[in-house]
Amino acid sequence: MVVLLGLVVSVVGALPAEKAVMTQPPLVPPAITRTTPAKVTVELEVVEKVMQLADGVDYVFWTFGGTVPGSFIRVREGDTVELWLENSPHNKLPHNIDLHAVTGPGGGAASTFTAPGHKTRFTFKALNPGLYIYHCATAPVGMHVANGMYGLIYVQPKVPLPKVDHEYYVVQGDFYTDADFGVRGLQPFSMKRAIDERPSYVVFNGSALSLVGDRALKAKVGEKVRLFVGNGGPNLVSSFHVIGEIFDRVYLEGGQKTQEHVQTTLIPAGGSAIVEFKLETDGTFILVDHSLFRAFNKGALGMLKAEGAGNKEVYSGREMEDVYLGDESVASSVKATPVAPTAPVAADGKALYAANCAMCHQPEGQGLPGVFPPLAKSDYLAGITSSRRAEIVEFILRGKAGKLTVNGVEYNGVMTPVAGLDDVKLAAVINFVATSWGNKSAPYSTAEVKRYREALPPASAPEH
Amino acid sequence: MLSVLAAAVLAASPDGGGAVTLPAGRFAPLFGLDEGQKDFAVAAFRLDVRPVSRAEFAAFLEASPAWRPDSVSRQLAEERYLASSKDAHSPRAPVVDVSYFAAKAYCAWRGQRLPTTLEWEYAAAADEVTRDASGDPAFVQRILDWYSRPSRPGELDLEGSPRNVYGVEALHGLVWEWTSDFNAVFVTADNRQDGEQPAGTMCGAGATGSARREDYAAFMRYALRSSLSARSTLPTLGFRCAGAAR
Amino acid sequence: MRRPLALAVVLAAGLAAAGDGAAGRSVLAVETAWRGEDGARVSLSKWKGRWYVLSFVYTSCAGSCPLTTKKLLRLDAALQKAGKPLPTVIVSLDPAHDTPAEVAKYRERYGLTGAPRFSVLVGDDEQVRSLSLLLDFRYTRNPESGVILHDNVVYLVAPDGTVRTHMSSLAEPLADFVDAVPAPAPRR
Repeated sequence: MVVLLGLVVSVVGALPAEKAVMTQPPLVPPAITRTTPAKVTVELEVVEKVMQLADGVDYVFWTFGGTVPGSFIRVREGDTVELWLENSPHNKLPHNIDLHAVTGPGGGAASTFTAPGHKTRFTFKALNPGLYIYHCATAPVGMHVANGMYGLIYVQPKVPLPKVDHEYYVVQGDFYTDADFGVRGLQPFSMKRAIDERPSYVVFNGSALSLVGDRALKAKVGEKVRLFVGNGGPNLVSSFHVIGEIFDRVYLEGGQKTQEHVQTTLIPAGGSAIVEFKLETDGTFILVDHSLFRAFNKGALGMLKAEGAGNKEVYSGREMEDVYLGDESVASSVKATPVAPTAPVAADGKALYAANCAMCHQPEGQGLPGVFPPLAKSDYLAGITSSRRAEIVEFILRGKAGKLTVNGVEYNGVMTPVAGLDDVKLAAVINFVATSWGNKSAPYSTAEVKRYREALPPASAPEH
Repeated sequence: MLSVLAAAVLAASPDGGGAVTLPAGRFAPLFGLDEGQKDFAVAAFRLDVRPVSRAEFAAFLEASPAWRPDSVSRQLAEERYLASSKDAHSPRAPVVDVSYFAAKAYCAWRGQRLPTTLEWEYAAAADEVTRDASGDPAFVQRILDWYSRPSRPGELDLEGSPRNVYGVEALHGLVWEWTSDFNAVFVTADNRQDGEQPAGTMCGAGATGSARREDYAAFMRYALRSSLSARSTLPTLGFRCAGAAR
Repeated sequence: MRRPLALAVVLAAGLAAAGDGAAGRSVLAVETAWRGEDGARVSLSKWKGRWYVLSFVYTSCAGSCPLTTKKLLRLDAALQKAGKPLPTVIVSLDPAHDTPAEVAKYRERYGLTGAPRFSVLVGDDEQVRSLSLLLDFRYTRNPESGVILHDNVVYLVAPDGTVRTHMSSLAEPLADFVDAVPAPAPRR
């Protein structure tokens, strides 16, 4: 996973020459310990390739180095950088690179305009320290960027930032496909949606899957973390936030000025920020674009898992729960009609779950403590009572806002409605959940789902 | 009716591809028009139905030893010249990895020439039913889908290429193609210098100056052309010949 | 919105990409045929074995070509001063319009009359296109309005016909170009 191009040191003229150490996301090359300038060679290969944009969703990405974002480049303020751009002969298109760290017309774009099967080179001096986006600038520029052609170059200041325990590389990007989020298969780029600025995906590191589950960023309680965060765009501005953390320090817009105690930092398209925080307690911290529908409906969600001893003084966890009779509202009783347990098998409930539910409730239904309730080993689902059968259909179709208690833990979040499920698919996905991970409930028939759907109030009611 | 006409002018050639005559007309290419100019006149011309095949090019090499890979000058063709001729493709597949100079020499050997960019774009704007479908989002998206895909060995398969309203096949979806004046357009390496550049020549300016700012497929063709040098050889770049209308 | 006079000037900005590849290119890789001053046919191989300066203009051009011509005159003077005078070959981008009479007027206008070191070559569209492709020199002519957009470049051609160096005909100073000419210039 890590591309370490190795350090080859020789002497060219007055400057020592070396090859840049570059890394694939989410890793960042080690801090540069040199205290004098060098001539640094950077080689970037443009690769057009198919990768996953979300579970089961393939997309043709155009990349710098085979990943989205492209390889992380780290140089030092005052270095002379010789940049090679190689365009694979198997690519169909010409490409180039504009590095925002470059002082000069086009940021290198004209000098690196490269036909397939060719390579070009240019040299620049890294005059200004900071964290900069680089991207392709070949016509149509928006499309090259929308297909993933961006990454970060960090010009480490002469006086480096204080040491931290972990540095990670995260770049947000918006993607445009004809089909909505989650529709499986190879999805082509939609020019129309891109022009209308209506992304179907907003993700970190090129995929809704890149920073979740096993690929979550990792650290230990007590450690300091620095995130190099970029926004490739092409269209959206990011309200970058980590749920449950406060940034101790933000280098605003990737520059030198810092702000302390920041909840959410704005990252413009084609811009960056460096954020730092210390992990004071354990748990999973969720990276989001706080324009929340992007996070929960379009994929802009990542995770940082902090392992170690929790600190009850910092965060107690749930301390009590009791009945509260506000205005003594009387619960309405919903009577469910018994139905014959004939489960539809036409739709793939597991795949539907992966596409629609796993993002929040997690691949194994384990949920995220305090954020998303578990579906596995869930007392709420353990044996779905007849009164609850209709409620579950309603949650999925209409969403759910407000308090919900599962396994004794209170959740107070928002579940957004799931679109695009017909009765057959809906029954399939519920039956998958109702019979997996130890849940044992009577399956739903398509007819039963249909009946509950038809009994629902109109979808436009905002309080749902 | 047009397709009937096209079929009628199909001429026989060794590989059965032949050429068709395209009628005169007027056409607005993405670039090249002056401010206020609506379109260009295009005179009638003949155009090969298909890109030149490997077999056809092999016959040329047989007759023209100077153009064989072992004798051609590096001034006229890059190292990759005809490199992918070793790959397993049908002899009917388009010849690729061929430089402009070699393509031009081939057409001259046949008593013909390369089409101009204007002629090529004029022919390529047609879909199966209309002469100028370049404003049809579905047509543009279809072309774009091919441009967006990395090339794969073995995809140079002509079978199933739709025949456009003039009777020309595979202008899209198979390979890029040389045009005689591909270096005529100033789509620069850095295409964002709007305002600084003459309208209609830089692609950034073109985005506002061109007739069809949503024709991303055409933008990509012009960008590709502007990245080429006449000795360039690409595994996705072939050509077809043109000539005077009969 | 379009500014014909300014066009040619700004086009130089895009030159870096195309021009970088020009070094090492041979103008003799494809034979091109031209009409010289006296109406006689001439090929660029006439200059084989010599160093010379090569550029493109067209005589009715009111934008960058006058600047290019002035630059060629300044270059000529600088080369003389450095003790390495070279012939200069100017190729017309507009063969249909640049008749012998127009070329004579152009020479008159810029004082090229008494300068035998300057040759103005006129060919046909095919010859101009071929030479432009050998050099990665970009130009386009609008067939209906006659407007020509083109790069602005001056090339230094070595005795074997390959390009040794090149510069923008508009902005760059002359010194590097003059330095690239070996001294004393080999002459026959």
